[in-house]
Parts: sequence; structure tokens; C-alpha cells
Amino acid sequence: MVEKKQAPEGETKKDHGVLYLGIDLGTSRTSVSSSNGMRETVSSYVGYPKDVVARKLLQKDVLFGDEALEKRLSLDFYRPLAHGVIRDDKDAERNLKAAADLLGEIIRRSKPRKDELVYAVIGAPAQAQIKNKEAILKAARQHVDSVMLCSEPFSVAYGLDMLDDTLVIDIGAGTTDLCRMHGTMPEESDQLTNTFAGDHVDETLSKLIRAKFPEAQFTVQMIKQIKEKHSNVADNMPPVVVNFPVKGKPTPFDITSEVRSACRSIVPPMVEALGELIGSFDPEFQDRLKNRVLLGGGGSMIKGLDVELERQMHEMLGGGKVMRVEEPIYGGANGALKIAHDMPAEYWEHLR
Amino acid sequence: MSSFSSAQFRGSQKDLFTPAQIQHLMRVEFDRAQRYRYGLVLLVVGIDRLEQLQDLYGSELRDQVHGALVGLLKSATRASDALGCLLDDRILVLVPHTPPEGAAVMAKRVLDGMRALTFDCDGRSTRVTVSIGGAHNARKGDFAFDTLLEVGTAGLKVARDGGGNRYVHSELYEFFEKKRARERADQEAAAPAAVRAPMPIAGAPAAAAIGDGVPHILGEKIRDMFGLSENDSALLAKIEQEVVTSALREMKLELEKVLVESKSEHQRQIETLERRITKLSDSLGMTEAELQRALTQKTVDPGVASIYKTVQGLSSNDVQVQLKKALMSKIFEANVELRKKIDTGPQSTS
Repeated sequence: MVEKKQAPEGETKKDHGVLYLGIDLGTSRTSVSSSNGMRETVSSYVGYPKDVVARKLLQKDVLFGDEALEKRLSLDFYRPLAHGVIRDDKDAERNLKAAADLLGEIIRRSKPRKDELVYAVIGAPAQAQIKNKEAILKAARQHVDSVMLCSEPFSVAYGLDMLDDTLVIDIGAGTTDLCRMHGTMPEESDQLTNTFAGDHVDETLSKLIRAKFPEAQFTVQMIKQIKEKHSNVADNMPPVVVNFPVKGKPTPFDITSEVRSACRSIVPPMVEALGELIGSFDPEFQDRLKNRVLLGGGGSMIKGLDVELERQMHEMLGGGKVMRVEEPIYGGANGALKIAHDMPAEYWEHLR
Repeated sequence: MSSFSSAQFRGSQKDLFTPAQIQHLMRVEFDRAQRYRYGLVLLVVGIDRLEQLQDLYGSELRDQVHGALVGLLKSATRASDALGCLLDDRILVLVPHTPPEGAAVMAKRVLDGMRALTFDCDGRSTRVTVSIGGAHNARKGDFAFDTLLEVGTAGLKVARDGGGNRYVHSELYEFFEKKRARERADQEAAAPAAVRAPMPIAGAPAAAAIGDGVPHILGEKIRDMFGLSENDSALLAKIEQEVVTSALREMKLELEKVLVESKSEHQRQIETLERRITKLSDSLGMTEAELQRALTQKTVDPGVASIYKTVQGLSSNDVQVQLKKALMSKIFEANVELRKKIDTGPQSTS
């Protein structure tokens, strides 16, 4: 159940305006754009000291982002979101708390005043289930006065005023969301979500490296860092030579083709989903849709992805044009903030 | 334009014109295009990962690729009116009487052509791609050739950052014009101080000595070169002036080159931030007005953040205002519906 937050007695009266927030709650990163000009992003990691000793050493009750990652050996470590939604596994309660704390942290970083209301629009995966949405709302309500959810790819398109005949692909860590924009609110049939996203690239890359260099020792975090630095799908990409320890000794490995193959692994499912959304659209407008494919999210930073996508669209769909958003990290949050600004005040009041 | 055809793709010292002179010709052509209002496009073409290729396969491959690219550019453009030159690792191509759409077609032809070529390196065949940044003068208002060059170069950078093998048509004219205006203002502000207190250089002769000696030496050299007599003082003065102007231009170009080279990753970040500032400048003006209004109504404090809703929120002048209102309504309804489902129903359905 979502409960309205009651202002306890003695709490500062919130009568000095509203702070609007656009939040992109992502599996890998959580970003916020706020109406006071603050923009922040934090890796979606939360950690709580394992015991009293760790608490005394760290001097904090909870750690976030890269700091949590760095100190993870002393922490009960959570990555509360998987596939774009709050994890609902055996640690569901703890994940929910971690997600709520993460939202609290990102809101704190947007520096709200004590005497102003906080209204937030949060981007959720296009096909998130009600249970997932409830969990996000529950987590958010602990920190904001009014909150709305909207589809992540829709918020990216809204932020760029691309509301007509546009196909948005939002490549996150957990999911790739596709959304067909045709001058009206996208319905369920206009949206597709698959899990061939950043995490899938990490997994594939780990498998490929393990198969080719079984002696190399590495962790998922190391793979993630390599991907973020070297991801590329071009035929003539620069060589990727990295050091992995082998029995404690740093040893160089050339993993160029593995990086390329792993990055390319998300393209065919993406083109397939594009084909599905384009093929079920009004035939007269299919060409326009094909020629306005908008690539957003952290995954859109893979070098050469737009060209590779165009190439595969040419092979499978007979052509297409792909554009990238200017700010992949903040595209979703900026769009959500724009929605928050454009939303009439009475709607916000109604949902308080 | 036919008079420029001999100046195509000249770069080395053996050629008739230096890159600086070809750039001068480009400036002349650009000024002419602005005066007579005809379309003109500048393409800045760069070979992807050239340094790495050179490291791997040596400078022979570099020359081979440059040669092939120049050949390709010649065949992809109209020989009568394309003007190009080598500048560092980039090739500039100025194409008059061409709209931006035409340039895109031309760029695609070059990209396709380059992709199709293979180069032989130590018995292995290698493919090389290029990136192209484009700029045009179809925009309203006056601006300088240097702005065109900067816009094209910015396009090339975006193309390279995106993985290369692509054409990027940049529209950052306003951004670079403002930046240039700022730089000019800074230089002007700094100039008087520099004149008042010239920086001493260790081991250099005094300024007065240079001022006295240079015209004398220059005059002698010119007299020797052109075989002038003592009576040709007017001609000598004219040539001297041209030489000094040309030397100053060369120095300016060199200085610009050094400045460009000294820019690092920090500069890229600064430019990104400046772009954002440019985008937000209109909003800031409105915000100031709104803050002024708020100041006059001291009893009502809607909060600074709320003012941004007024400034950046949905305006009645927005061309899509009706559509956006409808979308907001739908989002709101969907959220109300979601709340109802959460409050009332079991949580098993999607």
C-alpha cells in the first residue's frame, strides 16, 4: 500500500514553493535533474556496515555509489535494482530499503530546501509490472511529497520534443526499452523491453574472456570498467589490451575481438524488437519511423553502435537512420524533469 | 571559381601555394559567397585513428592513405569548384554553390568510397575509415570563415568521438561566434597592458634595436630579391608592407595552431558546459525577470525552484502545447489508476 506521508508536528512548514525533480532510477546509475539546477548521478550501489567494527571504521551508517563499491568487503552490499526494477528475491525487504535509501540519497544531493515541497517524476522501465511500480512508489514516497511514474523511453523522447514518429531505444544496464512515439501517449503495444543491455554485455564479455583465457582472473566490476572504457562495435576498433592477474602477476591480454563481440551481442535483439514495432505500425508511416530512431541511455555510448544498428537495419529492415541523444546519462532525468515542469499543479496536488 | 582549380589539394612546400595561402583563398571565396548570398559548404575530413595506423605500419601507410583520400575527394567532388588543402591531419574541402543536403550526399559518397578501399601493409590488407564534419553558410546573419572552420572541426570531433566512419553536420554557429567574440574582447582587454609592459625575453635584443633593424634588413633582402634600385622606394615600401602583413597572418595562424594543440580534455569539458550555458541563456533571462517580479511581491515567496517551473514549464506559445497537455493528462490518469490498483487489488497482475 502506498501511504501518504504525514508531516509530524514541529516539522518545518513546506510553504516556500516546490522543487521539481526528474529521476532516472537505473540498474547501474541513478541520475537526477532538478529545477534548482542541480544534476547528479550516483552508481546504484548501497552498502551497510557489516558489524560494529566496520561501522566504527567507516563512520557511516550507509554508503552509496562508488564509495560503497570500494568498501564493499566491509559492507552488506546491495545493488537493489535488477533489470530496471527493485529486486524481489529472498532479500526483497532489504532491497526495498536499499532502493529507498538510494532515492533518498539522490534527492539529498539535489539539495532541496527544508521549507519547499518536493515533487518527482521517476522513469520506470516501459513494461514494469504493477508490483515493481508499487515498490518504486513506496521507496520514493518516503522522501518526496508527490511522485509520478512514467515510461523511461517516453521521458527521453519528451525531453527532446521528439513526440512524433520517433522510435526511442533506451539502453540501460538491466534493460533495453524501446518505445514508439506517434504523437500520443504510447500504449503497451507501443513499448517493448528486453534484457539485452549493459549487464548482458558484461556477462557475455566475461564468458568470452574466460573461454579464451582461462588462466586470467577478473571480477564483474573489472569487466564493467573495461566495457565502459573500451566498448566499441566497429570493425577497425582500436586494440584493447588489458592487464589481468595470473597467479598474482599482472599479465597483458588482447581482448579486442571479445569486446567487439560482446558489444555486438545486444544489436540483433534490438533490431528484432525494432522490426516488431515498425512492422506493426501504420504502413504509410513505417519509413518515417525507421528514419527517426533515437538512441539513449548509458549503452548508447558504445562507439559505433549507431552505425552498426543502421547496417543491421539495412540488412533486416531495408534501411533506417539512427541518432544519439546528446547526454546519455541525463537524457532520462532531463525528460522526467520536463514532464514534472509541464504537469499542471492540480495534478501534483491530487497525488499528494 | 575556376581560377582556384590549380590550388586544389596542395599542401607540401614543393607546391604552388602553402596551406595558409589556400586558406586565404577559401576566406576570399567565403566572403564572396556571403556577399552574393550563394550556398557554400565546408567539409573537414579526417582519417580515423591515423596516429595508431602510423605507429603500427609506419608513415608510408599514412602517405598512402592521404593520397588515396585526396584522390577520392577529387573524384567525389566537382573538379571545377572544389577547393581543398591539407591542414595538420585534416583535409579541408570548400564546395561553393552547394546546399547542406548536397554536402551530405557528397560526404556519404566519400565515406562509402573510403570503406571500399583496402591498403596493403606488410602483406596484410587493411581498411581505413574517415570521419567528416560539415558546416554551411545557409544560416541567417553574418559570420566569419573561422567560425565555419570551427563548426566543421567540432562536427569532425563529434564524428570521431562517436566511433568514426560517419558524417556529422554541426549547427554550433552561435556557440563559436560567442566564443570568438569573448576571445576577441579578452585579447583587446589584454592588449594595452601588453603594450605597456612587454615581457622580457632572456638573451633577446632590446625592442628598440629590433624596431630599428628589421625594416633595414627586410628592405635589403627585398631589394636583392627583386633587383630594386634606391629610386624604387615607394614600391619597396609597398612590398615591405605586404610582407609584414603576410608574416603577421602566418604568425597568427601559427599562434592559433599552438593554442588548438594546447587544448586538452579539460577544454572539451569546458566546451560541453559552455554549450549548456548557451542553451540555458534564454531561460536565465526569463528567470531574472521572474525573480524581479517575485522581489516586488515580497509577501508571496513561491521559492526559487518554483520559478523554474514558470520559466521552463509548458508555455502557451509551444507549438505542441495541446498535445503536451493531453500527454500530461494521460500520465496523470495512468498514475491515478496505478494508485487505485495498488490500494485495492491483489498484486499479481501486470
